[in-house]
Amino acid sequence: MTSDYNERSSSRKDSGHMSVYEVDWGIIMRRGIPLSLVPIFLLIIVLLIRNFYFLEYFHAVAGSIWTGIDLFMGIFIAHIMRGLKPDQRTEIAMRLTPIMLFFMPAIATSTITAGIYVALSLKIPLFSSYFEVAGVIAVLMIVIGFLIFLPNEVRIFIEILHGAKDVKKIVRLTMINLNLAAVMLVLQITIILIMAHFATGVPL
Amino acid sequence: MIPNDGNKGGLLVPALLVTVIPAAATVIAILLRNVLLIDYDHVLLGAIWTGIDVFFGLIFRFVFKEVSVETRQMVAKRMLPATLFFLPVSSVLTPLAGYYLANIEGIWIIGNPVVDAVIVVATLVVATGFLTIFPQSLFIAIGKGKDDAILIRRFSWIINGALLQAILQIGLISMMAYWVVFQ
Repeated sequence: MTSDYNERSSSRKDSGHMSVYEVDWGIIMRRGIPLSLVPIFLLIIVLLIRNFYFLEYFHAVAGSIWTGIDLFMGIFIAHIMRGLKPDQRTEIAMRLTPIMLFFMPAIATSTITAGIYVALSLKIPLFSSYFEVAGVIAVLMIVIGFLIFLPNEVRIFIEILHGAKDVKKIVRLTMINLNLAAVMLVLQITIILIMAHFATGVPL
Repeated sequence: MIPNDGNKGGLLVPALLVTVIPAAATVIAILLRNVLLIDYDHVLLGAIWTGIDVFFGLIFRFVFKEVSVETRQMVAKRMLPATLFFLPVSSVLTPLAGYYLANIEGIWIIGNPVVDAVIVVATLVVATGFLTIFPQSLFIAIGKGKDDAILIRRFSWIINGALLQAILQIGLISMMAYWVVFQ
């Protein structure tokens, strides 16, 4: 399979066009770095100005984006990938990975950090059931995100940097991460339920 | 009518799943008039809808444009459960749940500037979806996107529609956060 990709790749290069299996790193960095910096930059501003409205707003928007992307990755992109041929899966994986490598850790960290500050601003007791359940789920998400999802993305990224010779590995790790996105989605849906309990005053 | 991409039963099953599950959840929450369920349904659907629009509008546009023609054709078809079904359904159910939630909480006050602004922007969001994402997805579904240039143009409409929706939704969330914090 690998040689097939390489043959296709070289034939496209010979014809003077960039192969669909190649990624322009200049473009990726220009897209990826702003995507990773914007949430963190906005979070820092929100924390510096110490305004609860902006803090709550940022937490809601960042959380929405994170949850929506996890659903999209875990359900819709996974559905798309399952219907594609292996070489087509590689095309998608190679274009998704660098962006997801930069953006997902940034949006996840920003959302959780803002959530902690919202909880502290609302003076939710540290040992209340809301804080405890949400805290356990947040820790689980951090563990999955930073100990499994992110290392997988880094491995894919390194593989792509080395010429994407092992395409099976790229597709396998991407599919694992898509399944992890579905797991993260379930955890996020649970944490939103806890927030709905808190917002409506219905006890857990 | 709807093309089968040759994989696992085509569009019918995923379309049913992404339509029936959120619709059933919203209807049950409204029928029960349970404030927790309606709040949860509204927030969750709204969050997912916004996140998908942001992903589509900001990230997926690059993926779609840079893959090969065959992959693009397949992706456009396999994307239909999201663009033709889930996004339009969410764009109806989220405001519907929001309306019932506002009613139950006694904050559906026509004439209040925040409520009026929410109604105007929410209407714009829904209209954007039904003027861009839905019709272009329908054209792709009935096979009017086989030419690559046309497919790219149709998908550009979908992606730009999603981006506009995302911007409006982020504006909408600011109004809701304003209500929660200051009203």
